[in-house]
Amino acid sequence: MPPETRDTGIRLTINGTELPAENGHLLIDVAESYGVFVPRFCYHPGMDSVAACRMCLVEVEGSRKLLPACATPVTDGMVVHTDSTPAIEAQRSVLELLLINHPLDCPICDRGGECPLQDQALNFGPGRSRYREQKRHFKKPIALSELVMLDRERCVLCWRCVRFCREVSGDKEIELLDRGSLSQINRGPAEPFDSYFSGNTIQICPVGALTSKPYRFLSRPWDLLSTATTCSFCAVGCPLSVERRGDEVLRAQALPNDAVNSFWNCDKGRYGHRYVSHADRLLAPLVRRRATMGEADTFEDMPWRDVLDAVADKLTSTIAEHGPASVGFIGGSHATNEDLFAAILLFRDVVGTPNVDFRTFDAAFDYGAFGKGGVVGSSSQFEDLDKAHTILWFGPDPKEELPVLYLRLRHAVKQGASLLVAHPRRISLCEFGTHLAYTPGREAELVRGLVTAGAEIPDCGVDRELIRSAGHALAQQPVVVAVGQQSPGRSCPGAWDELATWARSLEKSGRATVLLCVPNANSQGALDMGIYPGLDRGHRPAPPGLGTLEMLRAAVDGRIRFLWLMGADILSDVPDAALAEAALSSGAYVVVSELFPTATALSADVILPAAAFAEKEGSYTNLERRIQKTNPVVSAPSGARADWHVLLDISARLGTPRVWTSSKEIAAEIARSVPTHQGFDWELLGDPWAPVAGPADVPPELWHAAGENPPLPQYQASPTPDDLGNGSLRLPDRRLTTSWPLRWELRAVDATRRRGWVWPGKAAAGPNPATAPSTPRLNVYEDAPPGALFLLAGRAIYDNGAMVSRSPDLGVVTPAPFVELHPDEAASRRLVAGSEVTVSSPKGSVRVPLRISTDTPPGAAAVPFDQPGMSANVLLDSSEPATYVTVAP
Amino acid sequence: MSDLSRLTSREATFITRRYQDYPGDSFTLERARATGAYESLKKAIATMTPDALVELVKASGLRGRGGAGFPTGNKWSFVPRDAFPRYLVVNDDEGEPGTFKDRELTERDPHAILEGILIAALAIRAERAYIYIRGEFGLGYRRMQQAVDDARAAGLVGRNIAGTDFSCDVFIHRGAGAYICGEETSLLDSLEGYRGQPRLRPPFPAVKGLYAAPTVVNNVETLANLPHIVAHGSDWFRTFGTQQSPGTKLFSISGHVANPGNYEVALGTTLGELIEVAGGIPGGRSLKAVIPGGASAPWVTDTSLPMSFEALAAAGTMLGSGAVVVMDDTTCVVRMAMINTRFFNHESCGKCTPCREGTWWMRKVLERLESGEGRPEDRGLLLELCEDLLPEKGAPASGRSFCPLGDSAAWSLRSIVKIFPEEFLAHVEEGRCPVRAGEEAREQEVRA
Ligand SMILES: Cc1cc2nc3c(=O)[nH]c(=O)nc-3n(C[C@H](O)[C@H](O)[C@H](O)COP(=O)(O)O)c2cc1C
Ligand code: SF4
Ligand code: SF4
Ligand code: SF4
Ligand code: FES
Repeated sequence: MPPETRDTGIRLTINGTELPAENGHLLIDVAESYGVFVPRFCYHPGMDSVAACRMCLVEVEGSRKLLPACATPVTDGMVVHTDSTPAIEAQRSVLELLLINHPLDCPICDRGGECPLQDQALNFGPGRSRYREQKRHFKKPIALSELVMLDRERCVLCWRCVRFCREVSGDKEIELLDRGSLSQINRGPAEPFDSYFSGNTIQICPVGALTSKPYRFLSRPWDLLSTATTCSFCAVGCPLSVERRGDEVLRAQALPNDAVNSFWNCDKGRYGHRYVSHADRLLAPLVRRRATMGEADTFEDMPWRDVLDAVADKLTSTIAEHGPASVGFIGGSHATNEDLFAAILLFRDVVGTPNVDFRTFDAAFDYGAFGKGGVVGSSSQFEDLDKAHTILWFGPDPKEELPVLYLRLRHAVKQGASLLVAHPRRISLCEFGTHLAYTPGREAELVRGLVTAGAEIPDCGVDRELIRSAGHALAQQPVVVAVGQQSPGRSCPGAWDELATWARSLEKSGRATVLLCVPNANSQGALDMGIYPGLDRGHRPAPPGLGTLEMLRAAVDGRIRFLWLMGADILSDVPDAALAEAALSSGAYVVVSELFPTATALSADVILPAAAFAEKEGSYTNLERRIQKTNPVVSAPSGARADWHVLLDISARLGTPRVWTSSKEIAAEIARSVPTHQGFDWELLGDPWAPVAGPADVPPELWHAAGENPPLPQYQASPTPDDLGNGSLRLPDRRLTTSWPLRWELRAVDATRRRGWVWPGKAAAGPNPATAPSTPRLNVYEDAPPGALFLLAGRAIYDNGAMVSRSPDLGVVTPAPFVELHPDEAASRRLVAGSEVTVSSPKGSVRVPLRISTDTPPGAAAVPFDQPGMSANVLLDSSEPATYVTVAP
Repeated sequence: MSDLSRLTSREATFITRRYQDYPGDSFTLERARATGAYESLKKAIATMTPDALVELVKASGLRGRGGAGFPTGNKWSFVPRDAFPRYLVVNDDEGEPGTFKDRELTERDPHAILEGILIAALAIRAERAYIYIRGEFGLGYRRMQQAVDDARAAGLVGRNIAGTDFSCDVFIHRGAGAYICGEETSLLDSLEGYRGQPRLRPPFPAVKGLYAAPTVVNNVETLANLPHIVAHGSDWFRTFGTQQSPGTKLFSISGHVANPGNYEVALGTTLGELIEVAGGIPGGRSLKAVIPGGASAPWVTDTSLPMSFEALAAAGTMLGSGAVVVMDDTTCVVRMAMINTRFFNHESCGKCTPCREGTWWMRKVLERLESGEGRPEDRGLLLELCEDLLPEKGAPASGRSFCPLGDSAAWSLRSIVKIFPEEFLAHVEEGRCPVRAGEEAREQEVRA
């Protein structure tokens, strides 16, 4: 913004120019917004100021000492000099002091070339050092965790990493130990730094003290090419910079976006994306050759043209023989909107089947309940959390499933929101929220209690007073109600209906907004594109169709004869392994489009190698309905093709050719034909590499317009201390080309440029007949067979999914499977912690080590959904609302 | 000599009176009560409003005895009117090298401190007081704890003190041996269970201190003055000391004096008189320099200086905690400078760059100099480093460090280098300590 149009309040003078500013903003940010970069180490706009490093000392007239710009709020009439002799002398001195014990091993330091210490030393330092003594030594480097290495000699003790853990993630695993010159960052000897957010500390470390174990020594920053894109894992949709050398992804880092992730991402997003270059990638279409006489079937390569012909023929003949409704489509929650638009075109329009569904492990969750008469999606955005008086969390453990949303919730609570956590287990949020620990299976009862504000409280295991006070808190506006699947496989007919009806009524009266916590990177996009039974593009009603579980059952019955699975590994993901297996061996013709030869793919008739995230262009819609761009970083394996391309080819073979030749053109068609997405335009999604813009009058070279490739920092010759002695001081040119990591932290970043586009959220009125409303079925729990435990499955951040399990860097941190029981349940069964136990349900059984913890309530058994060596879906029975298990030695 | 005894006579002193008179049992509740303890407290509760107490102390001109000399009544009046709870925190972490007066007070007259605490708590309307006591104080801790226990049993601490509406409980917390925890905001962090490091100001403790509640931090000697002020009034108090530094002060005199120890004298007594009170410099030696107010204070050589806050400030140094270290001509100033700087480096908390790295660098240079490996540029370098931490034109506490510890390191070192430039040069030129060399030569002469 040009200075004169700024929203002001006060005027101050910086380096001789009088400027408007907002009262109370930090001087360091105000100066920066006018293109005056004040050097800094400890200050980070995402955390509280500590004013420890003293690098940002500036002269403020009337103050007897220099003031740290990072902890000085601007006031009216303030006269500031960031480039006066006292300020420059202080900056030089601090830099010289920071370097006396710094090893200066830049040539072997990962940070070299993108190091704020290097860059600021060159721009603000004295140029040479008077230090001629021994440096301080530490053993270097040490491993803080499987992902983070620490070189204490390089550390400048800015505290950023420790503050991140204290303030932002709440994982107090690293600390500042010892004192004075011997201060060091470290962790407890027996407590690894296993925060899910540990990688952020590496990104914000202003030196090469914290380095990434997987990335160490892989590359120099100037050899990396960066592409801005959006994380492909969960529905938070963190902006991401994916960095490659040659055609290989080597690193990913968080890009800032105030609206979505502030400055952070999770370690899955940071370390998980190298699955794209895993050796397992499918390279050519494969077609099953049925073996004769007891031999195993084999797969044969087939050219794309022939395979598409064969699939199209099969589709045509299936429609002809069994009708369009014998065709089904499952998957797409990790595909782009453009892929999904091509899919819906083929299946709903060309084939004419109503049987489409993106759900896999969430197949039992009724999203439709939240869309009655409107859109199936959030009415909240993440930023609403910061303003909320009360947040009701009725979803999964966000730390595991929506990690950066967990950070936002933590932040919201710090801002004063009160958080109610409805979950049968003690999940991460309970550390700072009020736990409404309802008896497993009694969602409906708890919902009734909350909805009636405690007037009617069916027994749900939560204290009456607690429910009443929760009711009170929910009466204070604004309220955000967050809902999502808590335990895969669990359906609670009616409970969601009642919660949804209540939430939507609050919404109508303006008292609440709803955050619908869909799980995957583009689950919301799939809803928007009509990949859901009864819901067409733009959330218009569609004829009733079968959902994922119903399609699988129909395949077993022979009603579904053709099944297209797009990135849906139903054998490990659908919460009923037996059903998935039966469907795959039912004789239905199964086409799988996949990155890897998953067990599901290997049961198919045709496997189509797909282009991965990072190999194609498109857009994702996160759980707040925010659409963000994904961009190609590396080239796809030669045989792999983007899904939209393949789907359009099949449409053409079925007689409906389309003229679109790029996903961009599909995006334009989405804008034209999907009512909710009118006005959707890739150009609107913002250019994350847009110049880090200050006001118009800031010289452009100051805020480098970055191309795809980060420009090398340019340095000014800086006056040496001698210049200061003779009275003729030459001020250094303040025009700093900030280093890459620092640029990402600048407040002046015009965040709107990468905010993405939130679609308006208005849809055609009319009922959404996704599922017929049902009356809440209370007292499910009473049906428990004696001695059986209610099975609570929950997804872990690092699981055995096709992508994470093929991320070379995450294997070491992926937890082993377990079953967790309350101490009382373990005691009554005489089970000891750590021993192998058998968990059995009517459907199957698994052997896993036992954990004992009060996090799991009595009467329940908690298991991770899908870990290496155990998949909970072999236990789950999708025909029942709940699964009961026995646990025995 | 008679003049000197006047300085420490019964009429001229009051803080040390109880234990001067009853050295055997001054610390017991019985003796303390028999000699008037808690009468001022009762008087204050019965006859004075909190505001009147604040006004009384303001009028007395009492200044903080912890080092900064801030007027105590003013400090109290910064507590916001309507914020509760509020706390009194008692600084008994005495860590300034050369200072040992709080220890003596704690060991020998804990009830005077406790009475002062209760009066201060009454004035600022605090219902809780925490005594942060230096971890190394074993006897002092036991005596203080005993005093609190006994007073509580006697209804003088806790709910409804002496049967009145006034309640105040007192807790003792033992430090763990860090100098920086004597700095009030580090002390608060330490008290809360965190790593002891100074906090960002504002907010000041008076507004947001312990557990983010308004908090007054006072030194134990400051508090020990209160019963006397309440008993005799501000005019009486002002009959001691100077206009700007009323009252008496406990000076800890150490180094080359015949009788090192604590001496209570009126503020404004000259440095020379003070040295004489402590028996003068023994062995016919002559004075080389004096540290007038603890290791943080720049050195002086002028014994005619009055020992008051204002006179020492005008002389470019400070009264500080009242620790007077006397050095005769056998002292190697380079070695003293090294020891001093080593102390600051060792006690630097490590939060901010100038202090953490600057004191390390100074220490390295001084250690080299002292061991005879000095370089010609070292003296200049030391002055430059002092300038880096505390630009010359600045007053104390105008340096670049986060808290005054880093400033002090430079402030005192600069004075040493400036007063004794030749001695630093001689260390470089001779490759050894000239003072020690002279001493050795003299010893040999004597032996011969
Ligand atoms: C580095 C440093 C160390 C200090 N150590 C002490 C100490 O040991 N005892 C003390 O009473 N005050 C000490 N102070 C002063 C306190 O911060 C504070 O000013 C004092 O306790 C206030 O009490 P007063 O106003 O009664 O003097 C120290 C200050 C600094 C900067
Ligand atoms: S490790 Fe890095 S982020 Fe942490 S204190 Fe050291 S320099 Fe700062
Ligand atoms: S929170 Fe979700 S979107 Fe963000 S980095 Fe992690 S997995 Fe990716
Ligand atoms: S000056 Fe800085 S490093 Fe030194 S004690 Fe104070 S805060 Fe700590
Ligand atoms: S003191 Fe301001 S950036 Fe470190």
